[in-house]
Amino acid sequence: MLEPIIVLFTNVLLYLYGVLDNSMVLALVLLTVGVRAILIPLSVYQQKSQAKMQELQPQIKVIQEQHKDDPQRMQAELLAIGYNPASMLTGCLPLIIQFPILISMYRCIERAIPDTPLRMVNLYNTVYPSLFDNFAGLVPVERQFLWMDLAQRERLFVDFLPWGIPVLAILVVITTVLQQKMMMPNNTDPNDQTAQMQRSMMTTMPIMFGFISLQFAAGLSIYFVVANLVTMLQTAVVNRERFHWIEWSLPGGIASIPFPSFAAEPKAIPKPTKATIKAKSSSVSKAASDEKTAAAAPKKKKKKKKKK
Amino acid sequence: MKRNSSLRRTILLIGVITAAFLLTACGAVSPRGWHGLTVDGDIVYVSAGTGVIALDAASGTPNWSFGTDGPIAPADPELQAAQSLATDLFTPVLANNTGLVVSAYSQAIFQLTDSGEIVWAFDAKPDRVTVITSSAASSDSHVYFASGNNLYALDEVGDTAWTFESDKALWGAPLVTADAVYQPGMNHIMYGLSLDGALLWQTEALEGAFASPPVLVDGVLIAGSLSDHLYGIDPNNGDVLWDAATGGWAWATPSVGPDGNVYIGDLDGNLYAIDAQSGQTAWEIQLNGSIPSTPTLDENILYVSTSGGFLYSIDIADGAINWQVEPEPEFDEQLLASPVIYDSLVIVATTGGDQLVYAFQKENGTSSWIFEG
Repeated sequence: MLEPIIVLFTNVLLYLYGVLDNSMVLALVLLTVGVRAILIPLSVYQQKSQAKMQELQPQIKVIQEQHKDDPQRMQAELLAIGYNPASMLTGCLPLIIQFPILISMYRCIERAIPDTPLRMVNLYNTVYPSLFDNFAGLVPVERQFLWMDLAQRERLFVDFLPWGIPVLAILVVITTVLQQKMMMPNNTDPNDQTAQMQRSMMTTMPIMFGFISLQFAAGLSIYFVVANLVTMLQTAVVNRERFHWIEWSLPGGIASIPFPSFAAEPKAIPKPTKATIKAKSSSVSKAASDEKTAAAAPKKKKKKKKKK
Repeated sequence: MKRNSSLRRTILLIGVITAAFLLTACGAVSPRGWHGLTVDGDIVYVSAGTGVIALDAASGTPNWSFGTDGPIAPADPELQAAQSLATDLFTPVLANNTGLVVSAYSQAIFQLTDSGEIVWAFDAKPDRVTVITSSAASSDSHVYFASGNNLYALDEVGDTAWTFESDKALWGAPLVTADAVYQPGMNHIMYGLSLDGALLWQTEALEGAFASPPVLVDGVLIAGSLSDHLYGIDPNNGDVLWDAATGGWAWATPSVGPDGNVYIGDLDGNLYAIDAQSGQTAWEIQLNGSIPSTPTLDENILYVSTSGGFLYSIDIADGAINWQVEPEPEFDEQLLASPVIYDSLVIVATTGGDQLVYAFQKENGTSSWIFEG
């Protein structure tokens, strides 16, 4: 299913490698920047959607509390303040699209930097001959960069340690945390579900990408690091009007450091009046009435939960 | 609220499925090499992923196996530990005295007895060399293998006798003769070494990388390359005597015929008969799929396996195809390793197929036995 993307990435990567005087690291950086550039419209939409959610969070919470026994009314009021749950899915789209791209990048790196005969045969059958004047001249593809073999797991061996240090995996974890922290609201409310979810993401995503970096080729880790840096730059540019400093309490309370944040500050939107609700909810009345039957069921369930 | 919680569940589900997809796709490491065969007496040895299996060549019945799944555990704890390094094994080669030498992508070399017990194991990991990408070579006194930028020569107990370092990776095993060691280099250079590893000469950087051992035919060293060129090289000084153009990468070690020709396939599926002295093409034919391995010659018939999954029987006189067979047309299997000959049988191993080894009658290509693996 992903083969056409893998083939495309592999050819572009090798073309860049040839153009950049056989520097595979520079080629990887350029390909990553190119891929992220293509995804800019989607990720900008995602960041704006996320910021909007952050702004509306206090109002959503009030409405949910006030109308917990009347789902239909709650729905109408949520829509009235501009909160559409369906947009959450659309907001996740760039994140979901990243996974097939990530897999394609992994396969592309494995194929473009062959370290075994079978992979070399696969590479031969992957390249577009017309794209390269002298493909044989590009082989062997240079796999070494500083202490790293780009086709192998990266470890830095030093004399005084019996094991290697996974420098790239550490960089991946750090940049992933920083990138997420830039868009994370400084919310200390333990009951805020959105903040909880973001805190959870801030723990799981760096661990997941760090684990992948530990296990797979160094070239993939370079992709992660560059992609994180590009995303950070993009966040700073797109959300520049929201720039402010926050105090970041490091884990374990070791220290608190100033950190640039581009997260939206929750806005105190005036509580919607009955008139505005009526006006805005009229456009969604059909959808609301369709859900009338469905809305009755959770009411009962809610009561059951309360008993528990 | 039901809609919200349902939405959350949907998002969570999508997330979990995506993460699982990611881990599965990334975790499944694609194969690194292909299964190889070696025949000795009545036994055919198959390198199959993490193990070597010894089959009765006449019937395909397994005699023993070595590797992580094998039943033979060496008594020595060090050798026992070494056995766990046996991953992604390349084609076994016959050792100079008895048994086999097997190299593994996981930076280990083993010498096995002909009953599958480890004689010695060389673990290259402490030297932090990079992976091994080809079979070893064996001479009367040494075992040779390339790893990273180095060629290693090990003595009869598996200790390093000498090493030779290139400026770039060495993939292929060397050709070892009574007088010299000829080492192919991925830096497009062929090296001539003395038997103690001293550099005698090197060619200039040619069009393509050298990834397979060359052959020596009547005073001409012949080497395929990862380019559209087959080279004839002077084994005394490294001068290029002739350069034969091919349609695709002529990767493999050529096969030497009794008629003064060498036979080599390329990755575009062309098979060539080329005069060893002049480099002139006697004939060429197109087959189905890439030919990355050496054609096997037996009684003036070439047996050629291809990545298209076909095994061919070809007359060396004019390149006429006697018969062809596709062992597993319903599967996406490849035949990448050289076939081997035993008595009246031609035996091939598949890569990615449903069955591991097939034996066919040399005469007409009818199936004789199948080993599932």
